Amino acid sequence: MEGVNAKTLRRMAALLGFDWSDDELEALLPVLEKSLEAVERLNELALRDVEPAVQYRML
Amino acid sequence: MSELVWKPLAELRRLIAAKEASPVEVVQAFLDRIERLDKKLKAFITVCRDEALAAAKSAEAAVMSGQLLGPLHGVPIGVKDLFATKGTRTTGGSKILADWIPEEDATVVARLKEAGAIVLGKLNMVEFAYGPEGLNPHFGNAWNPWDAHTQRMPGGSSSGSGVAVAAGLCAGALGSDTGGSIRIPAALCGLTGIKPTYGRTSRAGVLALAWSMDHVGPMARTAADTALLLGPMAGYDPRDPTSSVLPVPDYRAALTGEIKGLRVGLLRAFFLESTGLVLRQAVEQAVKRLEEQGARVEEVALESAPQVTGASFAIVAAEALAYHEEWMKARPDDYGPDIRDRLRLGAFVSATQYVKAQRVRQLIRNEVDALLAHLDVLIAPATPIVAPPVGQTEVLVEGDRRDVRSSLIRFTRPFNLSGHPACAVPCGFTVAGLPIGMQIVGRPFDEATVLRVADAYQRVTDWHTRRPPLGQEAAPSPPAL
Repeated sequence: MEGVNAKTLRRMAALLGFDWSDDELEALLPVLEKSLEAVERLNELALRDVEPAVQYRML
Repeated sequence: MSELVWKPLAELRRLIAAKEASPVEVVQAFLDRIERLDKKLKAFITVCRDEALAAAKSAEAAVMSGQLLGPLHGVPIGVKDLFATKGTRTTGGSKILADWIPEEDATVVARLKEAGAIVLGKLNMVEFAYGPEGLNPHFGNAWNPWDAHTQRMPGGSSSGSGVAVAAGLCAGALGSDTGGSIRIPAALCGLTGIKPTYGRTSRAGVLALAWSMDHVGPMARTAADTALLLGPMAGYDPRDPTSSVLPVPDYRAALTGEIKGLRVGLLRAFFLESTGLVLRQAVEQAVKRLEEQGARVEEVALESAPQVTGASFAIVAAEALAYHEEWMKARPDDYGPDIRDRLRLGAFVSATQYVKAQRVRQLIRNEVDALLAHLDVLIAPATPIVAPPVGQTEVLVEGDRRDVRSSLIRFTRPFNLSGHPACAVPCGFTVAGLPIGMQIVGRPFDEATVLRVADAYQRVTDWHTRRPPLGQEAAPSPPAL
C-alpha cells in the first residue's frame, strides 16, 4: 500500500504508546501490507444497511 | 501396554461404574503412557500426577460406596493450558504467565470435574493461542504422532490437545478455537473436535485471544465422546455474559445414527476447489457415504468467503493487541518473536476498519444462515493440506505455491466469524499415513445435528479407530485413499 513504511508505522505505534524500532517495523511490512490490502477489499461490499455484529445490549 | 487408554469415554465410564476397572488403574495407565511417550511428544506442559491419582482414589471410593456417579466419572482428560485450573499453574503457553497459579477453575473445567472427569494435566499450545501451526518456543513443539520420523505440525493452537488425544495420553481434551484452533489440530491429528456455537460454552476463566471470536470446545477420538464432553460443558454462565441461556440438549441421545432425508450443502467454490486432490477426494467420498445413508446433497457456495481474510484479520488483530497491550509495553521481550510480531499488527487496524470488519461479519453470518435455512448442515474440508513438516512455511497445492499459515485457517475461520457450530471429523488418510479431516457446519445451537451427522458417518467408517505409529502398538490400518 502506498505510503506505508516504517516511519509511518512508527508514528502510528507511538500514538498508542508503543516504541518500536524501524527494523522491527520493517519486518512487519510484508504481512501487514497483505493484511491491509485484504481489509481494503472489504470496501467493495455493500454495507449501507448492515450494522456491526458487535453492539452494546441492555439485556 | 494397557488397552484402557484406547477405550471410548463411555466405555471407560461403564467399566468404572461396573467396578470392572478402577479409576486408579485407568489414571495410572494414562500416566504410565505419558511417562513413556511425552518426552518426545511434548503434549503436556504440566502433568498433574499426584492430583490425578488423588482424584482417582476419591472416584474409586465413590464407586465402592455406591454414590451417584456423574456422566464422566473417573474419565481422564487433558486441559489446554489456556484454561485456568485452581492450584495448578496455567501458562497460556507463555513465559509471561509461566508462574501463574489461578485461584479458581475456568467454568468449563469446573463443570467437567463436577461431572466426574479427572484432569491429568495441562496441555501444550501455541503461545497465547495465536497461531495454527502448533509450535511453541518456550515449551517445545508438540510432535504429531502420525509421523514417527519427521516432526510434523500437529496444528494449533490446541496442539497438545490434538497430540495427547491422538496418542492415547488422555481420553479427551479441552481446546479453544478463534480461527480454527480446535478443528485444525483435530484434522491434522485424526480426531473429532467441535467448535460449538459462539456462546454455547462459557469462556470464563479462559485466557482471551479475541473476545468476539474465541470459542471453547472438546476434542476426542469420536463424535460420541465429543458429545459426552460437550454436554456438561455447555450452558449459561453468569461469569460469561456472552453465554447463551438456551437449554442444552442431550447430545448423546441425539446420536441416533439416523440421517435419512438430511439436507447437506457441499461447499465447493473457495473450499473444495482449493484443496489438494487427495483431500478433495476424501471429502467427496465421505459425502457419498452420507448419501448412502439417505442424506441428500447439493453443491452450494459461500459467496462472501473471500472477504473472511480481511474481516477476521481486522477483528482478531485489534482485539488481541487490546488484550495484550500492557504486557506488550512492559515485557515485550518475554514474548516469542513470532507472536510478538503478530500482536504488533493490531496497532495498525483503525477503529473504522474494525467496525467495518464487524459489519462484514454480519453479512457473512447472514449468508451462512440463509444457506442453512433450507439445509441441515454444510460440509467442507477442515484444511486444504495435511500436516506439513515443522519449519515448512510454504506448501504446493495442485501446483500452486501457498503459505502454510493462511492455508491452515482458510476453511475454519469463516465459522469463527459467523459463530456457527463446526466440527472436524476424520475422513481418510494419505498414502503416507497422514490424517485428512472434513468439517461439518450446522445452524446456531444445533450441535446435536452436527454431532449426529459425524456419528452416523463414524458408524460406517473406521478412520477414527486408527492409531498413530508412535507408541509401538499401532493397530492394523485400513487402506489409505
